[in-house]
Amino acid sequence: MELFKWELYKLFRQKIIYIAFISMMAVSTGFTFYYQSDTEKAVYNEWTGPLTEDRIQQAEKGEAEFAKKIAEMEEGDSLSEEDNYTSEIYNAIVYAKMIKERPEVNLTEVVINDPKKAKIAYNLIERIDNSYFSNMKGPRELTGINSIAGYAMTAALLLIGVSTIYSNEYSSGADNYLLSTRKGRKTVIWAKIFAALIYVLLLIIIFDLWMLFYYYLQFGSDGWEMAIQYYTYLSTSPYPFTFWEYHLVYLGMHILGGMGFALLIMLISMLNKNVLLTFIISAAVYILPLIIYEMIQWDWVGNLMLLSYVHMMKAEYVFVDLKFVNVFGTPIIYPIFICIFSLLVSILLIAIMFRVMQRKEVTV
Amino acid sequence: MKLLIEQLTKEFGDKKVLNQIDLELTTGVYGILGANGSGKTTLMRILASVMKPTSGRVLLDGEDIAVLKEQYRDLIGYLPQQVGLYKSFKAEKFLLYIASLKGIAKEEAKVKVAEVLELVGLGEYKKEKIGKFSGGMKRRIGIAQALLNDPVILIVDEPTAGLDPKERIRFRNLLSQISSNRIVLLSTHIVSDIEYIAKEVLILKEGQLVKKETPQKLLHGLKQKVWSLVVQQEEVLSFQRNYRVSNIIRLEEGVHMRIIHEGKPHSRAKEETPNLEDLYLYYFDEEESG
Repeated sequence: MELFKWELYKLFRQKIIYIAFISMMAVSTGFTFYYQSDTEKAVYNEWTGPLTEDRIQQAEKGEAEFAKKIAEMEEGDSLSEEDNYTSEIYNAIVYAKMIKERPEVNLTEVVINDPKKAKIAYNLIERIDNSYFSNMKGPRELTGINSIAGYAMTAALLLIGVSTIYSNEYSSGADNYLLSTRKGRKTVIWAKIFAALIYVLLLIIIFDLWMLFYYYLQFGSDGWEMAIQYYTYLSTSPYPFTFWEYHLVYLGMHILGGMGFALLIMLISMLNKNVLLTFIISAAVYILPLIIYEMIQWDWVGNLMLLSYVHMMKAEYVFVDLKFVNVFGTPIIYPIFICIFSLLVSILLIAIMFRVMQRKEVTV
Repeated sequence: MKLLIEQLTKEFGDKKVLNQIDLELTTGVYGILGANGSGKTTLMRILASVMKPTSGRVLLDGEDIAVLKEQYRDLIGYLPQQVGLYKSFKAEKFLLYIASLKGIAKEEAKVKVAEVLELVGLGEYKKEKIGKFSGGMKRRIGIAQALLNDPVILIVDEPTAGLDPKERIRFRNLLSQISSNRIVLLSTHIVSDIEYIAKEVLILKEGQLVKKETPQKLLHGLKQKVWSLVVQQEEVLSFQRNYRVSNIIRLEEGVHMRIIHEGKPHSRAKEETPNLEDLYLYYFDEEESG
């Protein structure tokens, strides 16, 4: 316990993490503050409430009319502000109901033709509740920014805070104390691990609270009880989450992925004495799966890349569609498999750390 | 208590840094003398368990330290050649952290830290940041951390390197003060560090243990090998070329030379009482000049 406190102290006394954290908070705002106009609020207010069959038909009809109108528009023409927001709402409603009406639009043949998988898929889709609509700008924008930049900001803060955890001991020569003292080869690893995990937890939660607060200031608290299918990127997702539920799932995966990534940084830090090298290698290991995923179109490569920390922390790609992994004949949905996989990798990383430290010698 | 080193060898690639060292150490101060690259630091590191030998073993009272692991580390205090310190830590805080690494309970650690800070003369600097300390003070913090667990085996590697004479004397006295009932291993290439406090001197040369004797016996071995002679200025170069000259002093009547040589170098040469500096030169002059 005493060593854990010391490791926490050593980690949290780095001024750089506070500077980086505050900088990230500023960057996360995009240096903009969105004011919803009265027109926008009025349009959304008009549509707030249960989505009856009549309203859905109105949205479908309206969406088709807008599509026609936009197609006929000439260069320089634009929709009025009110039409713009109305069109946005029609679009969201039309797309959000698609997965329930025609599940096959986003279910692969592999899923549809496998009774076990199909049963899970249809059960999930059946539970999607998109019968309520309100001003979902806040949760939608936040979900979007989390997917676009959240994973990068967390990773940057993790790299800054954790890269030094062992490399600093080597570069300062303090490794001599670790290696020659009773608790310096085993207990200290647990202390450093727990300190790093606390750092990850605090970092992600505080950052998330900040984002929630900032988006609340801009958009208020509406929309969180709506189905995630109202967010364009996840409109055909088979997962029956509200924005709140999705946010909590995202947060859970973000924390789990962040903790796993912190362990990986620790191991890399343990293996070399150069802080910058630890930073670069860890950053490369983190970001490469995202680049490979975007560049290589083969499904199996993409599915493999989804097992990475970056995709786990990004979460979105995992929930876009329904993927399964067969474990001893039992289909397990990807988000659950990724979490189990990440936990197993974390255990492996910890075991490797202990092994490395047991064999560790001071460098000449 | 007995530390037995058996056939200890350490290789880095093709280079044998330690070559089949056999050694027995009991309570007392051992001075390890050797030139740079003689294997002193490697031997100290193996004894401090921060490095593993390529072959051979170290036994503490019959038990292999590689098997004893934490039990052995609990008994040692180690001051590495490069004292690794957290510069932004205050002295007291740094020592409390090391105490925690050594598994000393919090309350006991506070007492122990105060004790060792007083012992090394840094009691009044306990709230100062280590980064502001002089080289000598950093070394003293280094020895303080090594003493925290009251080690029965104290390993100090080149503790006086870079210290001014006053700090060196202070350090020597400190070591002498704390050396009772422990095995103290002190590596150095400054002979005066160990001249008066070492029970035995170990001479390492190119990874091999050349000698292990009491200073007296070692000096006795230099009998009729240390000479002094007053020569004319024009003869100095010739003597320097042909003999190992340990000292040159210019006097009114000529140049006084101290020469180390197996036989009398000149009819006018007078035999001198050898000291450890002569001993060092006797063993390492060729190596270093080569």
